[in-house]
Amino acid sequence: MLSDTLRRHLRDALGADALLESPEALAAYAVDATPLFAGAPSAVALPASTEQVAAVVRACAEARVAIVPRGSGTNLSGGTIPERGALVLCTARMNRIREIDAANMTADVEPGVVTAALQAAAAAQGLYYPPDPGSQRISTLGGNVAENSGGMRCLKYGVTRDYVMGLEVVLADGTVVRTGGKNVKDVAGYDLTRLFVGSEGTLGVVTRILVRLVPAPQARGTVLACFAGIEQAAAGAAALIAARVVPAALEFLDRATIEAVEAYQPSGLPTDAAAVLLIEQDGHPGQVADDLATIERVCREAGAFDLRTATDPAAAEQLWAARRAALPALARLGPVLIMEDATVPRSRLADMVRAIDAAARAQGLRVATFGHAGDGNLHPTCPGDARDPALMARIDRAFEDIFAAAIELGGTITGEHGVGLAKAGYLPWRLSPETLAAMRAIKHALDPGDLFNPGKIFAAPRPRAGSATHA
Amino acid sequence: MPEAGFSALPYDELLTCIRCGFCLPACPTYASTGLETASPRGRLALMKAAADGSLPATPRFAHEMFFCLECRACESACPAGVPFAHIMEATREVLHERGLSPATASPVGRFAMRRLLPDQGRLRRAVRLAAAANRLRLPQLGRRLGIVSPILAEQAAALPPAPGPRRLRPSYAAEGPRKARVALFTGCVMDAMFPDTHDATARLLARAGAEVTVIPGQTCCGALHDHAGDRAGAVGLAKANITAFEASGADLLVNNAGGCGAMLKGYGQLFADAGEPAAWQERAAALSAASRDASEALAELWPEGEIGELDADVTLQDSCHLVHAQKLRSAPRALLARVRGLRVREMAGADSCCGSAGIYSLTNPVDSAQVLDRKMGAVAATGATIVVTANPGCLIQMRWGIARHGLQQRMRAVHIMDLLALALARARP
Repeated sequence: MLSDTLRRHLRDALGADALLESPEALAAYAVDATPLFAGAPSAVALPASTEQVAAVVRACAEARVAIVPRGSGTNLSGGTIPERGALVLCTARMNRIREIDAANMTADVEPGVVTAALQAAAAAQGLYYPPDPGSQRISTLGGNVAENSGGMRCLKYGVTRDYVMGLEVVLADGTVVRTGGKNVKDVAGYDLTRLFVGSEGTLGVVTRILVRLVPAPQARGTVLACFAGIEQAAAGAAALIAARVVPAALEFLDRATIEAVEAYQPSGLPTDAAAVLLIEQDGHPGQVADDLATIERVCREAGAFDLRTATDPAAAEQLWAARRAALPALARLGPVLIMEDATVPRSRLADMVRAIDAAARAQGLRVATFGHAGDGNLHPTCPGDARDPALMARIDRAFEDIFAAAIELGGTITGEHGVGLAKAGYLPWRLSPETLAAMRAIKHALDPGDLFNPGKIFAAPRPRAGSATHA
Repeated sequence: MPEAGFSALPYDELLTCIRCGFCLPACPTYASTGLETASPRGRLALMKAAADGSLPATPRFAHEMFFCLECRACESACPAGVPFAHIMEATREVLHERGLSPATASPVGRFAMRRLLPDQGRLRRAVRLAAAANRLRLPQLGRRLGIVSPILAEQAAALPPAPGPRRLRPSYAAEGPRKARVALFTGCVMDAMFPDTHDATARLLARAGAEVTVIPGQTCCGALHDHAGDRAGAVGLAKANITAFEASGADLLVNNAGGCGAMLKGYGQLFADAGEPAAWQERAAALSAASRDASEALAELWPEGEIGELDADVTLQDSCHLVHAQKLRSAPRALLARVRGLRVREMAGADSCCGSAGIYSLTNPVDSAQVLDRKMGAVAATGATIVVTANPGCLIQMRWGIARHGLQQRMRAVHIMDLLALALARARP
């Protein structure tokens, strides 16, 4: 419940129709895409401008009501779950593409612009915005910046961070700062842009985003390679890099995923394959043709027993069908789907897949794994049911083992989903107390009152229940 | 504890939502509002909260539930296969029983549902009356006098003129060897406003080799009742249709209205949900299994070859309940592709609702217009001169959209069966 004073201030700033307090609205904004998490917001604000965002921040700061910035609520880390009766600040009405600057190859957008809308606007001018998180058709740029989202094209093109050139951010006292700009080279002061990217809404509210665009690739080709063993597939992926091919996408599906896909929507994958690599290259037609030939040769040498290549879009779409069906196929196996994003250096891919299988077996679970082999970024995925606490506890233990294994392999607890609430207890596993203290110092400097997205990222370390191998 | 009625919501189905948000870009009301409450994921959260007992059945809750078009585009977009409409209809049934369904709570709505739609004679007279009022420009007069809202006057003015003398015959003989005996489902609004489309459908089916009978005793399919939460009303109408179909001895029951078709195919589920006796459930399931959309039946009976000739640019507005409920995306497109000379210009978001949505354009005219305006932008961008539809509601809504956007000189709205019949007539003088 808002106080009368805060309600009046917010209505004055936003207009009555942009402040939602009905029980229905509060129920709808209580959740995001993270399974098992729900909060209880005190209100939902829908500002339409930077000025309105700043006014909301000032009013909430004065009333000591926390703020959770939110785009479309598609994150998988509980990053937009309203804790401590926070107000949800939703950027859906700040959804204009302000400029596509073809000469400088940049786009200036508001945070509520949907990723796919920016991609389409860029494509209309022969330009390309590569970051493609799985939820790109509805995720917002503001959310992508907050989570430093990845996707399938990161090996070659990088992640959201690599495209953000400048930001406009409302700070905890309501002041508006601008970072970066259109300059390719600009070392004037601290790189605050990079500080805010991936800060998960804990340091400020991003109100404008300047991103870099690249020329749209002229051609594309796709190879699907089936392997009898995970080691062979991992070796194939490594051999591609060794052959100096950097594919636009290098995706991996394990046997459990393949079986789920074929049971749901047969796409003609051999179910005796232990692993499938889906490799896409884009660029100049000549280069694509060369690379496809190399990809085929390398995969064959690595032991691929089935190779399919497509260069026209319709045939390529056929090859991608299995990968696209992975989420729907797995989502149908249970009421909730626990999907994680443990990540390791790509040379440890096979080790990580084996560790996932061992962790699943130890709990008597079937965990399906797919993901971005080129980035060592895997999505071990397990269907669950919140009505079965014993099952959920086993899943929890399996994922605990998986995170511990990732860290032992030199990897990390999250590659692209973010820490949020879901991984906060694991963060001290990944980072030293000194590193965490440095992060807390930054948080305290910019947001001393813990106004923005409280409860996220920083939490007490989760005790390691399973074994004592981890400190 | 949930309120008594909400405890009956299908909880297992509610739990299948993984909250990924992939339904949001498919939802027309989310597109026009940007509100989570007006999105499928948000509505599922609300319905789950109701089932969990944390949201009561209030007028505001009802408003959120009836703000949904029930176009089911979210079902096509959903990776987890959430049966959204099934959950929504269970929720609306509770609201209907509490007197919170706008269509069944008002005297006018109750009259329309109970006395008008099920009575073809009365409905025809009402359509003639409305057309006469239109000729006399009464809606415009009413608007000036302040007794008719501007938007209602605008909608009324775009209604089609009264149909001419009834061409639809009781039966049509198959051309060539008989491939099937088809009962033609005539419905309510379709029959009263567009009877010539039924004649066109029957002639096409006969040309395809079907013996077509317009079976007596049939009535409204009950879809509008079901969407308004009046499940009992829908079951009553369904029983009349089942009895009429069984008496005909036909193999197939063919309709030309996407909304009716989805309902007819859903009778089996409806009777199971309503807890009807097993014998009735079987009879309902049998009708569902025999039901076909006209485009589906034509493709089945007349699978190849040209279907006439027409030199025109057309664009297809999918019927939501044809494409998202019956999953018939390619059937109408395949038929259009068989018309020589026809240039089909696919519009952006063809499978997105036009805002008609049963009686939504009457219960929520302003919201409906918002959805329609977005749609007309996509229609106009194709440069087509004919917008093809496969459902009477869409046809009426497209006429409104064309008038509302001043496109009368450029384009018209035509039912796909009328278009095919026209193409056939051009080719076979």
